[in-house]
Amino acid sequence: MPSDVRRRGVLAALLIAAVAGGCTAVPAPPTAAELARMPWDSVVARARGTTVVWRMWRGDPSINAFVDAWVAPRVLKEFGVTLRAVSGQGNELVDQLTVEKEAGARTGTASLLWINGETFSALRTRELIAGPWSQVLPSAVAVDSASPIISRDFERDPAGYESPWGTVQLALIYDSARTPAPPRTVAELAQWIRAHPGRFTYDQSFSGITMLKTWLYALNGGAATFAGGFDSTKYVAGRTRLFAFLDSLKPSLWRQGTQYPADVAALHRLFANGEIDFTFSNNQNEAVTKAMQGIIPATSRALVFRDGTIANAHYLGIPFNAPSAAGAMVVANFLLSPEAQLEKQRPSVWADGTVLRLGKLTPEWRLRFDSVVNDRRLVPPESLRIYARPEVAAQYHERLQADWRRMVR
Amino acid sequence: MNSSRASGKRTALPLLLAGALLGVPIAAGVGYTVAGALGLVGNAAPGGLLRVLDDAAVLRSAMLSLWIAAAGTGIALVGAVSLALLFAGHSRLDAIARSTAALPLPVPTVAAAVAVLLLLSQSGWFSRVAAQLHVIARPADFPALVYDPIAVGVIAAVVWKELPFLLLVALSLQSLRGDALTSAARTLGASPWQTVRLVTLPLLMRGMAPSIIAVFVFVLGSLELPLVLAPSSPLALPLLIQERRQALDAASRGDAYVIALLATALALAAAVAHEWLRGDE
Amino acid sequence: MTRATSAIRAAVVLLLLVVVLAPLGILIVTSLSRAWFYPAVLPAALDHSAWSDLIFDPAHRAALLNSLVLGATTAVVATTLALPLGRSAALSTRLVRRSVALLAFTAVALPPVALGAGLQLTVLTLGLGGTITGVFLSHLVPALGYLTLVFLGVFTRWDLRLEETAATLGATGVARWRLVLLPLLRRPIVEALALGFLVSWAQVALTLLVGGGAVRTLPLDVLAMLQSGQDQRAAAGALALAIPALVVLGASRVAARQTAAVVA
Repeated sequence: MPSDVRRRGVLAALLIAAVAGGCTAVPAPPTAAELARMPWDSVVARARGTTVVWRMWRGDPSINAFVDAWVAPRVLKEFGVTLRAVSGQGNELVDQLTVEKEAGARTGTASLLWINGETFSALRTRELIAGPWSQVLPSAVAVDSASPIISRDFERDPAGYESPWGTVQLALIYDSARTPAPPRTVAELAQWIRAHPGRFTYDQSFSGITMLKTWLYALNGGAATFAGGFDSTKYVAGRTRLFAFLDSLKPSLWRQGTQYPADVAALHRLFANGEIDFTFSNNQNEAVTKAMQGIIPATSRALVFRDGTIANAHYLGIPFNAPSAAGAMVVANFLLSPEAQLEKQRPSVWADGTVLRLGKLTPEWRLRFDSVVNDRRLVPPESLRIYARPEVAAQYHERLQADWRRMVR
Repeated sequence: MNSSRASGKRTALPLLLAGALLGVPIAAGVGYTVAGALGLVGNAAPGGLLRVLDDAAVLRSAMLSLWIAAAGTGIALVGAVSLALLFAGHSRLDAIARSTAALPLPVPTVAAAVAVLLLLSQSGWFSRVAAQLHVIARPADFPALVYDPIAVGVIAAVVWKELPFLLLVALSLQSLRGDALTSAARTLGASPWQTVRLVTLPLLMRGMAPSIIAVFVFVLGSLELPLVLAPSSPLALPLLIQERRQALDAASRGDAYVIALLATALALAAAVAHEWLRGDE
Repeated sequence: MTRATSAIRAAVVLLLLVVVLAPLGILIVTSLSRAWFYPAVLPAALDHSAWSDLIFDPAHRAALLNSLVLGATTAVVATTLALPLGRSAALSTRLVRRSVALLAFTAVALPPVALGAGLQLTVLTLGLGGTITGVFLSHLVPALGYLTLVFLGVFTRWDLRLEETAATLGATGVARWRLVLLPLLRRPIVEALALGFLVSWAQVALTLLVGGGAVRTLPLDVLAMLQSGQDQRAAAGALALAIPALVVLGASRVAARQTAAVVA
């Protein structure tokens, strides 16, 4: 037949094949909630041979190394689960899952998510994560469920929709060589900033907002003012005081407060190169871990404000369309094991706090955990405990971020 | 084959191919943006065109991105034309100049952005040299070339990347058409400078017009350059769109799609201008 | 040429060398450094951990492999599709030629943030969300745009008489392609392959938007390194990005020159 007709026929056939391929029915894998109703052995059996794509924040090389080089080989060996960690956090995750749900993607890409706070809240509200499932994990019995920081995620009850993984507390990082007498309260910090113009700033991502929230508490009578759900009046009053405070500091900030680093890595870079004299992190031990990696000077130290800094927990969730919810549950369970929690807490690895109640563990494990927190350069656990402040409702975080972008930046 | 069937074949095939290969993806992309602006997809509420146009942040973002594209393209153009005129000959020096200037051409933009960050930031290499030479005392004394509202660093990266491309276009235009007309002008008694001003430059400008538009529109839409080098305020337009698209409130998401549509409209206008200027070569 | 002009030319060449080579130089030195802070002009000691990480870390190797596979596939598929499209459009009416050129340029000019969201939805609907195939399809869009313009240009200046002569001498369709068209097209095809490869190799925005973070490529890795404070690895990655690109372009130019010599 004539070549032009033949060519058109081939093209049409290709188009039909493409459409048909997309419409083929794929049986949906069991959801996390369904798996939670099965015996654990059955879950482990279903997990074997599957691949778990874990969307997590990849902005820290030590965390990446822990996941890629320590966790992944072990879950492969013990449970036959191939773990692949990829980048994704916060609004990006919510956006991605929303688009997937809209496209009717029955099975998505990721099976496991690293989340907390406002991300969890948004995912829950939009029904983008599966559950409840975390209560059936065997390792969950050792979790410190009495701790207000773990049992409530930004005042919201995880209710089995996310499994706790670690705890951190915001800390200010300074260079003991440059700043031998750092400010210890928010008021002292403000004084310091005014006395040293251009030597302080904060970033635009989650660590920056956490610092802003810490200041919000300090300027408004403490975290208790904002406890008990979101109150618009309280928020606006608190925000007014906070933004007035920021306004007064603005001319003394780095670049006269007209520019702000995009993420905590950019903030660390400015600090390491001496453009600013302070940085901070949601993880109080970053002063030690980052110094070990050569990202900040070895003389870096951390402190928590005497006004209190925010302590929170971070969790693992399973998306509604996880290809391998069983694999995700097995990985989450492994990450809750004393072995994995201990490794994560080592200063040479990540120095992330544990979610386990040490009293529920055997004496040998208790000893091991105690020895790990003895590094002289780490913030003493007692200080952390005294000055820890809880998170409040996620809406405060969301509104603050949106309003900051609108009114301050 | 009779002529009407022949001409039917001649137009049908390219249109079908172009429709399938280019038209479909473009329609899919633009269609979704339109749907998002109308609040039909993306968990968005309908975007407000007036609200967007009234938003100072959006205007500032658009101004910044347009400035970066215009300044970057303009400087690259001046540089490319100057180099094309200066090194038009066949000597060893000319060859070296042309090869060197063409080197950045294939280097991916993100690699160039990283290099510019390491060189031009206030604690970058040039600043460190200045500190060693005691010209400055601290990083803040070095001019802010990165994360600055004039986006010097971004423009520098744009020029580094796009000058080679424009230079190649200029050189090929010169070799294609330049010689006959310039020698005619010289024969008629024009001085070298007059020849350049009245013959060579207009020829180059007209021939390069489509390429200039191409560079301009490419820089305008680039995501990786502002991601690495641009200021946080004003936020470059592609970054603003991304930020609002992922915002947790639906109204912002709709607005993000509206802004994306405006950027698309600009790109389409540029495409039409590009095609019109290209003429029928 | 006056002495002044010679001096200016020499000075400009020197300036060119510095401006062009400085970015590459800083990438090399940074990639070999560790804890290199202001105001040190040279790193205290050389450290190859960024490079060994790049070469031996399986995640980085996977990203590099993804980039190579995507680049090669985009190059071949885009060239194969753009050639007939460019040719049929060029040999058609003026309106068709201009319309196709407009469409091709639009594919290139559309801002990736505007295009990417829609492509992401399309790819998801096809069940290719977060896969390398989905990302490949998105890379194909700008690649096809560029290459269609290239082949449109080639075939617009085409001399059909060569083919017609061959036809008169009795050459069949296939033989005409083999003996006349392909040898003449060798140079544009090589250039198109190189360009198609580079478009995919350097792509950031579309991979981010359509791959949803699940598909790692080398440029995405470079960004991730930068955003996690690992400047040394970012620099090593940036060099790993730049060097093959330079090689590909150099090779295509050499091949083009050889072809030109053969054809001449």
